[in-house]
Amino acid sequence: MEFWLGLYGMQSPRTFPRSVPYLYRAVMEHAVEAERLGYDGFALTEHHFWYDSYCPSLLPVLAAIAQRTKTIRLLPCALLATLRNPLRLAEEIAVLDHLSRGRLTLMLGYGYRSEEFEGFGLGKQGRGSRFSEIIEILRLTSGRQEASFSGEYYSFDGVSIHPKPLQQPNPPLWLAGGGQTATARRAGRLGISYCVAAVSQPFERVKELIAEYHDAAAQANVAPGQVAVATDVAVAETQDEVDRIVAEDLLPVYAEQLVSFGFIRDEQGNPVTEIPPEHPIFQVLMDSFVLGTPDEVTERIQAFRELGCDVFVPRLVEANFRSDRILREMRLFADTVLPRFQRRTGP
Amino acid sequence: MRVGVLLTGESRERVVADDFEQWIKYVQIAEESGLDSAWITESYFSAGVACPSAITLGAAVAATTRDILVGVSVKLPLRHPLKVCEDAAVLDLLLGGRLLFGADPGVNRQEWNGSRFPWSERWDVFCEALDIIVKGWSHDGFAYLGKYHRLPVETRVQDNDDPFHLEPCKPPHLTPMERAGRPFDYLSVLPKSIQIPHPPVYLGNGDSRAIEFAARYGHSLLLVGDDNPAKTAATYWKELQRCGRQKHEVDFVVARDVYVEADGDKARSRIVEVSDNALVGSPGEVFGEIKALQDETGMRHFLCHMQLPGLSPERINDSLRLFASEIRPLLQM
Repeated sequence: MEFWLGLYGMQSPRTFPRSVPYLYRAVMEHAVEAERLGYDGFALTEHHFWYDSYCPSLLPVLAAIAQRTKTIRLLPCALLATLRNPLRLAEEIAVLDHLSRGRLTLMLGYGYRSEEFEGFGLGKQGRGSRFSEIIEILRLTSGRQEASFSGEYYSFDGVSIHPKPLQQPNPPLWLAGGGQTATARRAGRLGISYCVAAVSQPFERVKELIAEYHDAAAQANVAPGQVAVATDVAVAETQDEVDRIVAEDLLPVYAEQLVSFGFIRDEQGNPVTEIPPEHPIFQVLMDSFVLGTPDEVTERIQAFRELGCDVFVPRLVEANFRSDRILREMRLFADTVLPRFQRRTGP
Repeated sequence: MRVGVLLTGESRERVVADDFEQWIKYVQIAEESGLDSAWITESYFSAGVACPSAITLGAAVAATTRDILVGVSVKLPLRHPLKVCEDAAVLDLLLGGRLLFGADPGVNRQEWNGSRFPWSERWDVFCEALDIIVKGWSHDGFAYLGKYHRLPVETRVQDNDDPFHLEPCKPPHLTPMERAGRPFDYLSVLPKSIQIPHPPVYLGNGDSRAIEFAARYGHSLLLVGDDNPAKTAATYWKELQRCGRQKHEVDFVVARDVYVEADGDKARSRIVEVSDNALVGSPGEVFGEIKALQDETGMRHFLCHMQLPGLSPERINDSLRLFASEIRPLLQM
């Protein structure tokens, strides 16, 4: 099983404000440390027009990290492909693939915040079929000297992308999705790998989504790719320490993020600006996280492994934006959990 | 005068990864030798070009240098202005505030392939995009109702003569955090660059419209492949004066193909194919030519482009070191 450490968004939330330049220095340090500790991948996350300075540009940050690391795989997780011009994207990923000597794994997403689509002057409607066209374009332009395309959303004539990606025909292509069946099935149909963002998804639902993915691939008669599960992780030597991380770091940050994403609505459909601590959402979240001592965390990840999951993406960062605490948890996880799994690559 | 290097991104190696490795090394040599800047340009859809994304390569350079200024010259046609705004701000963060931002509308029709705007209106599209980028860096909460872009697309802000609308302070006020999911009329591009109010802007073109636009907004000029920089300079300085601006507010950059070797004849013999205005020869000869160019144009910043056909990476690096030790001290005085 592979482990991709994430997900860094370089956010400065109200609950734990930092200077943004500090966060960009810290992420470089963490990437170097993740490689040293034997993680297989290092993942960043993207949003736009976001009050806490959430990183909107993952490829430049990965290009910088590529120069300070040698072996770790680099991931935007997820890069919101539907907000980008696909030709520009094809060129940028090729440049990054060369700058990292073939270490890019291209985890893509549709995006879901209306603000991001409207901000870029785009409609949110049809983002799924838009995404399918983008995959088609990436496959077309990487394989051919000259490509033409005429789709519902994109069209061009006789375009030649230079350079081609170092990993031929393309860096590994992934689609990350939340709880929607349609996303799992689209990944399956397209024959690309699939990552379940399991935050707020019960274990049974994760299982169903993975089954949907395989079923869609089988129906489309394409070989399925790999499967990953991503969720928040808090690991500590003792249960008391885990409880402290949850109470002091994880829940306050989540309370803020739930408000700012507008996930929680009142009866009129208006976003709730203060979520009471007894709101059921918190229990739903906690159940979907992987929290506990190294033994408990290992057992939970083992259960994902048994669902056929090839990669686990532990998100240590959302829980805890304080650099020294993340580094400590990162080391504990690497020392106590990673050795329990059979790995393709060693530290 | 500032002195720097220019990378225009022709691929010479079998694997582009090797080109990138050489360029990064080259910029490190430029930094170690005390040069002021390293500029990266980009081109799209053309065979033999290794770098269609100056910002991505600039980020790699950010991680391998500490002090040198890093310029990127970005082609705007196919990029959404807000994406460029975000990418450049992130690059400035990675660079610790060392970014110089150049923008260019592109030189040929081929690069506009896939753009939804007509080639004939490229200047207007370009000027609007650059205006949005600069506003996005330096303002919070704005709507932009331009000829080509309406941002945010669903904004209810009323159109008037000015495309730029700053969010009025009108209670009840919702913080951006609390605004989530509600219809919104103004947007903020975050994170902001380190440089305040924004990184210096360079127009990568000597076209008369570029000069006029640059002078009006106090942007600098970056001339790559300009055959008559003296004429461009004269127009630019005059136009600046007309706009009530001072020369010291802006930068004026000229780039030339350069190759130096201690023996000038040897240098010339190694160069097989070169532009008419390339500066090739001994340090003394090349210094003389740069000085003449400075006298002619009043340029404040000179860039050497040394990745010339027929030269090995070792010769290029030697030429850079010789330039830095013999010519740079005379120019930086």
